[in-house]
Amino acid sequence: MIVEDIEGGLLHPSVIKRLRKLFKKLGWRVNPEDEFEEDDTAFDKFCLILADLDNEERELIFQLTENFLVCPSPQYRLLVKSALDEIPQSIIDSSGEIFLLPLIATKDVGKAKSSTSWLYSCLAEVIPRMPAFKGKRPRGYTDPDKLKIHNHRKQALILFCDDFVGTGDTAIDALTYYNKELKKNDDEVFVVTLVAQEKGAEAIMDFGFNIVFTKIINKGITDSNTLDKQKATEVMKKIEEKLKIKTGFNFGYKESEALVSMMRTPNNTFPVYWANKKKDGTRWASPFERT
Amino acid sequence: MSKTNIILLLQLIYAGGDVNSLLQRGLQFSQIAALITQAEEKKYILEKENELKLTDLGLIEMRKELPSNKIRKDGGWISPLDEYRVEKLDVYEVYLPSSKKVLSLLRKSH
Repeated sequence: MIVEDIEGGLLHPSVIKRLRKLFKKLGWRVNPEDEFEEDDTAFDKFCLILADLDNEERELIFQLTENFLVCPSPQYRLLVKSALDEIPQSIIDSSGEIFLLPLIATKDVGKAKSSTSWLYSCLAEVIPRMPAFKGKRPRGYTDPDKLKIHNHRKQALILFCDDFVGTGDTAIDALTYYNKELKKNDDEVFVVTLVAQEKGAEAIMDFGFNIVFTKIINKGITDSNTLDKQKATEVMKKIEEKLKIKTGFNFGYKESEALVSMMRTPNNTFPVYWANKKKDGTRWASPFERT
Repeated sequence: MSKTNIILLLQLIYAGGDVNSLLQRGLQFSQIAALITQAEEKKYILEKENELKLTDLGLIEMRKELPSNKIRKDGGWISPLDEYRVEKLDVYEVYLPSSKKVLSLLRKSH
């Protein structure tokens, strides 16, 4: 990182100290792990964005980040197991066959999505080690349409998998397609996710489907018990005024106000954490850029 | 961690300044964070109501002249611009900075 990269503001050592304390509290690494790590760590990027904010904007980011959840891919196996543990054993035992499918919108079939990537890990690494699934040989497909091959299935357990459920829009799209094209009346269907926003989980249940998850998260400002919501909303709007954000993504997709980063940061998360450009075209060094 | 970096950090904290001078020396924010931790461990600084302050020990350290460790006559307010130091040359050698360096110095002087 060279000095010319720094945009705008100045940072006092006290702010860096406060950020270090927050990182330690959250269990996040401050220093690069090894020589192969990229030059700018998440800590460095946080400092860069804090340098670009005024005092009240910084204060909001500090308070929101206290509740930020990071689930890097090395943690997925444990998180997946936790979610699968929520499926009643009686349903697993009585199932004829078990199928794992990605929870993706029909328009995204065939694309590389996080729901397809951890499906392999689930099938190959997690389920074979779980006593709950002993004697079962689940099958997985990256294209839900492949379930049509098994039209003679009896009492199948269908697991629609995704690492994150936000508003539930993607889930409802996928489950609507299942209802229309793939359903058999004796199927037991579960949505399996690692992290769900409360609104999305409720949408799935209201649609008549079960959902199991490891963690549930709320909206960062609207559901906060500690923030002055009106003030926080005004300040966040002021921050987002500086950023280049597509229409419909202010405060996260459909104002989800999520505070989470998974293998990839969902666009439900506040853009301050993942946007990469400011409106003036200069770089915004977001710590959880969507790659 | 360089002793001169610690002294510059102490000067910045004392003056209520920002960390730009440390960044100009090529330190990253994560390294500055480690420097702050080191200064705390050596009891040069402490945190009071979310603000970093120099201790008496920190004040003495800030005013030391390196490498002699004697107290400086200027009170320790000025730090050498370490980032501009060059290797000592023989009396018959001539120092010619790179054009990149010259341009950088010209930019800074405007």
